[in-house]
Amino acid sequence: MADFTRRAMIRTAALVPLAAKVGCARRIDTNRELAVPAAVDGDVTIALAQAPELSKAGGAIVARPQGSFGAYMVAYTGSGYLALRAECPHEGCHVAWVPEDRQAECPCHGSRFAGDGTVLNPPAVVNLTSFPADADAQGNVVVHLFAGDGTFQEKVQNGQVSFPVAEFPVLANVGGVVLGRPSGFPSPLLVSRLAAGSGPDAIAAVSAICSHLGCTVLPASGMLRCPCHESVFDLTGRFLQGPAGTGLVRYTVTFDGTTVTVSTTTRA
Amino acid sequence: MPLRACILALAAAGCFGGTAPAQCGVDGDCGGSAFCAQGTCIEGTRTCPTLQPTFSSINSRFLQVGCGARQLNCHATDSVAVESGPSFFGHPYTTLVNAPAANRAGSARGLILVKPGDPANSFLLTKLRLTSSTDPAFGPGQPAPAPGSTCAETLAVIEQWIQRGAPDD
Repeated sequence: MADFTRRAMIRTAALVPLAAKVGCARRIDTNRELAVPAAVDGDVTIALAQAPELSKAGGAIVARPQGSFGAYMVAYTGSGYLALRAECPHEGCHVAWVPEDRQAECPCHGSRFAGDGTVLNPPAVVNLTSFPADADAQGNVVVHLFAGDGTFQEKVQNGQVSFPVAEFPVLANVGGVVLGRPSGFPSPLLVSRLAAGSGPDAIAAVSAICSHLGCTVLPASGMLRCPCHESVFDLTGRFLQGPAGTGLVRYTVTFDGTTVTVSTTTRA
Repeated sequence: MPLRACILALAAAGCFGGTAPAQCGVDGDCGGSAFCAQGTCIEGTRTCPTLQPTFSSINSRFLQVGCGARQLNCHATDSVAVESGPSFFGHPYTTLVNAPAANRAGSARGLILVKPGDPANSFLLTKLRLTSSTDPAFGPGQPAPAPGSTCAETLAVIEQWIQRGAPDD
């Protein structure tokens, strides 16, 4: 111990920044981006022949379906597939799969996410959306974008989903909002009660995907607010303030006083 | 030398954001008797996780384990049920214990989510035992996509924890 002199301490301490430099220099490999066919009924199919990375444990790609603004990081852990929205909710960089850690990392600022999208390390503060993924009979990887989250019992049929307002008592009151994703619907929905009575002006249905970087918009004090970058919208999806600049996607809705019907058709 | 090695290791670890490698990415990584939630393998199933009668076990293995396609905590700040129930994000002890229940979808009033020592009058257990999604007194059973799907063993452990005073342990 007597040998651990002042000189030794200084020499050891000098190694810290060096170690930090070496460690911090570790570069996260981004995943190859691959254009894939457009989603059909919400399913994105990735041919293994085009994505050999998904044949080996730890492999991953970023799939970009034709006609889609979004991209999806798809990974194979060796025992199953997982799919996450690729855009980091912090600044929008594409996350990459780190197989040795079984986590996704944003190469820009180091945010980390579990395989189910749970944020594990900042600067991102909200989760990545995850999607079920599996292999079809031909061995292709299929990402199910429209899987329901269980909030709505009913599924999309003939391009629309209907549910009684009695299932969501919060919608009985003006200002009440329900957030969820019906099975087969192209986006998570924010359904809001705008006014008493019935008719299309009494209920609004808008996409909960922020028009800025795709975070999930949440109801807050009679408005809709994006937790990522503070864009604010009114209950009809109209843009009010923040970096988004444009409103939320709005869906055609009808309401007869007891049943709400939301169409997958968008409206102006 | 050992000190030097420790410093080097700590410095290097700091560069990786302080996140330990996850145990799993998908359920299949955990073998047949466990599932993967938030990067951790948990023994049992989502509706029947293996629990200890402690708040930390119940919270990490049951409350924070979600539902639906996202397999995340429904009762969290960015989740689907944010407007219809309490947020269980993080360490929701004070959200639950001795906390009044809003019960917006039911007629019963004066309910307490977790009443220490009194599982029969703890609304959390009432909601988990409901099998209806439209109970007039207590609203929809939980979890919302499959009311009453929590297994008896898990409910018994939660009851045991409440019975012994619902400590924050």
